Amino acid sequence: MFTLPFPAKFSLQRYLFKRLKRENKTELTARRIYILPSREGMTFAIVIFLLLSGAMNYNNSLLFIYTFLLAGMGIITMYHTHNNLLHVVCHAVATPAVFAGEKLHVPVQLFLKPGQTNTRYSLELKLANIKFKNKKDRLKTDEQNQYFDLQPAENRQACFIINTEKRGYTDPPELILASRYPFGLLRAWSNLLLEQKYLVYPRPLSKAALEKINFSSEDGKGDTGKGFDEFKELREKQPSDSYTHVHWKAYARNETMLVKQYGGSVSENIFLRWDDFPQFDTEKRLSLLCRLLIDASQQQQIFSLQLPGELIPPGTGKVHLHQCLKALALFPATSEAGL
Amino acid sequence: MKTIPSRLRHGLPGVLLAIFIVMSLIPHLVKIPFIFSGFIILVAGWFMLHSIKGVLLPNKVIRLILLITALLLIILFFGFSFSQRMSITLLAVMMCLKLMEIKSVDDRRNIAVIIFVSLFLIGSHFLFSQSIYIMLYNIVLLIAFMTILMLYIRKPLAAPAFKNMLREPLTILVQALPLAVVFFLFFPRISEPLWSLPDDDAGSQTGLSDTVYPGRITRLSDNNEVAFRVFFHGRVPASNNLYWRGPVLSYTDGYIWSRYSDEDIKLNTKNIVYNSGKVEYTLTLEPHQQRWLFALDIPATVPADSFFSHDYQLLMEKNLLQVKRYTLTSYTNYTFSGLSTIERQRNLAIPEDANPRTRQMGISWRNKLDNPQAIVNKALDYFNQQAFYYTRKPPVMLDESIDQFLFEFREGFCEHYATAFVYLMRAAGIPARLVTGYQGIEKNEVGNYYMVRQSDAHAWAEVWLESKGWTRVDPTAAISPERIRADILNRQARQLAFKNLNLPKLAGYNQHFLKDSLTYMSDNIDNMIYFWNQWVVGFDSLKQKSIMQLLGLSSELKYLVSMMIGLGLFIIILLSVYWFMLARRIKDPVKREYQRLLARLEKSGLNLQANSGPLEIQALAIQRFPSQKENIVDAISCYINLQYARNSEGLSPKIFLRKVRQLKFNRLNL
Repeated sequence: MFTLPFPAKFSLQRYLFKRLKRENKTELTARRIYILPSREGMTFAIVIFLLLSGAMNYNNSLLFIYTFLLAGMGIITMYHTHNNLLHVVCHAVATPAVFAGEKLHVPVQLFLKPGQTNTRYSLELKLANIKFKNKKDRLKTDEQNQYFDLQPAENRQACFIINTEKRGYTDPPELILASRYPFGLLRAWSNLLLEQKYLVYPRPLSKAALEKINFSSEDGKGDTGKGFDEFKELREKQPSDSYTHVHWKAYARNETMLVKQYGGSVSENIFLRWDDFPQFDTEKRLSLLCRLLIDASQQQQIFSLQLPGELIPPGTGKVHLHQCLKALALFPATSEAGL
Repeated sequence: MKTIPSRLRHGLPGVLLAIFIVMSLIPHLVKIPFIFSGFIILVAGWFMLHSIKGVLLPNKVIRLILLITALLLIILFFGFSFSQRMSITLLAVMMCLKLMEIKSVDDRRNIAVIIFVSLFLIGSHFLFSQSIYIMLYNIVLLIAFMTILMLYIRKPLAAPAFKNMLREPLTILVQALPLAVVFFLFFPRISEPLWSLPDDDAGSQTGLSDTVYPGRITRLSDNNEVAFRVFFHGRVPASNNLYWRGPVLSYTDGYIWSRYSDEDIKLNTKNIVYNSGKVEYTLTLEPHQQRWLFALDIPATVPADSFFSHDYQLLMEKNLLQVKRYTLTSYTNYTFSGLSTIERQRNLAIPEDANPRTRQMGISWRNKLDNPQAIVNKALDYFNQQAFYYTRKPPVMLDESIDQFLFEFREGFCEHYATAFVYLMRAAGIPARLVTGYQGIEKNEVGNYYMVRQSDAHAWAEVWLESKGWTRVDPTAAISPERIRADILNRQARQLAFKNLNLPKLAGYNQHFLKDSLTYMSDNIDNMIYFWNQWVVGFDSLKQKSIMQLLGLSSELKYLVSMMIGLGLFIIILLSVYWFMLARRIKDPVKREYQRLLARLEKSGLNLQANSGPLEIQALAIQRFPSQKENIVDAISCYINLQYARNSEGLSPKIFLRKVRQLKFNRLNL
């Protein structure tokens, strides 16, 4: 059967993005810059056409000159608009990971290739919003359009906020850098498909959902159950104690530094295991583990994580938490079938 | 009063927009009815306040009321007939109403439309005047509007430095100039209009008309505009022969002189013998919205698209709306033969009841003197010896004007003398007619040509003498020199005619230096205008053809073909620049083909390193396409031999190319 080479509702931008490879740093070269007359440019062309027909009809030399001057300016503008984008370099900057459902801030850095001396005016950086079909969503993303000039030595950062749905690595959104400078008769643009791996942790299970879960099963909780909400005792801080174990709330109340004393026994450590929650599907399990990891970390407990094929040894602190959450985020979605 | 917050105001761009909209309409403001000019200025002022002070623009209802009022007024003033003036008024008013519709600084679409309509209106100035000044004025406006457009396109709307504001538009204008010149020279011109001109109402007309009454030509005596410029190819004729022939008027009712309606017919057989005094010259005539052309008395040749009427006027098929340049040959000595009955009748006709005293005097001269030449001399003597004064400020003569002039006031300008003379001759039985035109020339010291101004407008007479036919008689010249009024002598002290920017020569004759330098300056300016008219305004299909001939392209077909070839060459040059500059082409065909091969291999899914040598690539390719092992080895070893081997006998780049092209790689589908 005959099929169209593009979807029934053809989108130029979608087509242009399809041809691109992700790049960490993109320099706008002549090959990547597209240019088309804007709506104003079309009106301008109509005016020129009217003037030309007037000049031809009246055989009016000065009107001819004037018309050709206008047309010439229109043509030359093409070159200027194009040059206004040329040699702009874009680059997506790495940012800390977020949890699924949170907003991800994508900082995009723009600067001119070294050696460029002309300021670029009225650049417009926007989300390409090729995914949205209805106008309302598109208008919402238009609120994030950013307009700026770019000086030769300037390093400008534009930030885009995108919603995250899925855990794992997320790519920067499709961006468009455009300009209508100087006269708005033409619009030059370049499609930017930047490369940067933004990590999105799984969505942590809500506290309410956590309470509903029945932890009564002994083997389900194992040794870890006891030390969940309590710690052994509080004692006064000694110089050798780490500040991470200081009970800050108590300090605020009593003005004596108390240190949370964790027992030396294994049961004081939290050991989170994938296999402990066989009743849930993969995503829910990941969500739950995520929640438990966050809580454990907040309570300054030592915790370790065991996933199929991966064991993260006990530890504490932000880096450790990140390591655990990253393991959850990158946990293969299809492996459940194999278990 | 409610205002909008200052961060949302237009500021400088808005002020500039309002100012330049009014400026772009200035040449039109005098042509359109006063009330609309007022309306436009009002709206522009409002918008200016809106831009600076944040005064609110009118809401929808008020705008609608304004629109309806404007439309009604337009209908009231112009009716439903479509004319240039009406359409310009309509466009200007609509544009101003559009100004009120601008929603915000970001309302790019409305602002752009307003600026484009302004650019269109600027262009329409050229329909009314093609002077160099209007061109300069319009270029200034063009730059201004493009700058305003740029200011509005800027986002964020930064306060621009004045120094940089004009840089971009000026650069673009200068870069566009060569393009415009090329288009101007080579864009095919057609000599016939595409559609009939809807309205030839091209402003107020100056210059001569085809009716004359006492005071009509006097009106021009203050007008220093140049009527036409003359370049003589040879000798300049003597000053007593410098009569530039224009409309010939035979009909009179005793007050007004005009032409018979059937007189503009083409002359079929010439009844003239050119004797001597051959003068060749090129005349550049300013548009006067009339049909006639001026020529030195009396022309022997006819310019293109014009003809001789039977009274030896040069007439065009259509009114002259643009500068016209033509070369003519005239003879100052000539003899006419044969006067048709109807011509004789018409040139003897005077109304029965008008100017009885003049009529009486004419009849008495006929009875006393039998010789027509004697009657002519008698009349000239009469003007010379009686107390006739020549003045630019004659008294008003309304009833029996010729009687009043001859017997009461005895003060008049050339048309008074000429009409009185013709009237007298007709009464005396000599066929006579009134000829209008210009008399004299003024040298342009800079440009080696001569100017004839509106103030040189003149009227004289022609009488039919059996021996010579039509003979020119200038009764004004008969006035005794001591009776020429000072206002005539002071004509040199021209008044400032703003329209032509002629510098006032207020200095007296004793201040020679100042006078000379002023003359020199004004001559320079006029010279520029002459050049402008000749090469820019007067550029037409003929001139275009002559340029084509200079380039060796004579026929239309050749022109078309060379246009195509030129265009093709242009594209080819562009493409080759692209290839050489951007594609960084590899010149060696073997290397190029090898690079292509690598690209194909990569496309088929092979992961090549940038530093892989040919042998490594060969191994990888064989691994991926084992079926083509032999061909691959063949091609790669051919490459190695060509590139590196000392002895590559029996091998040539062509063989390598063929071998590479034999290789067929399928895309990897994993």
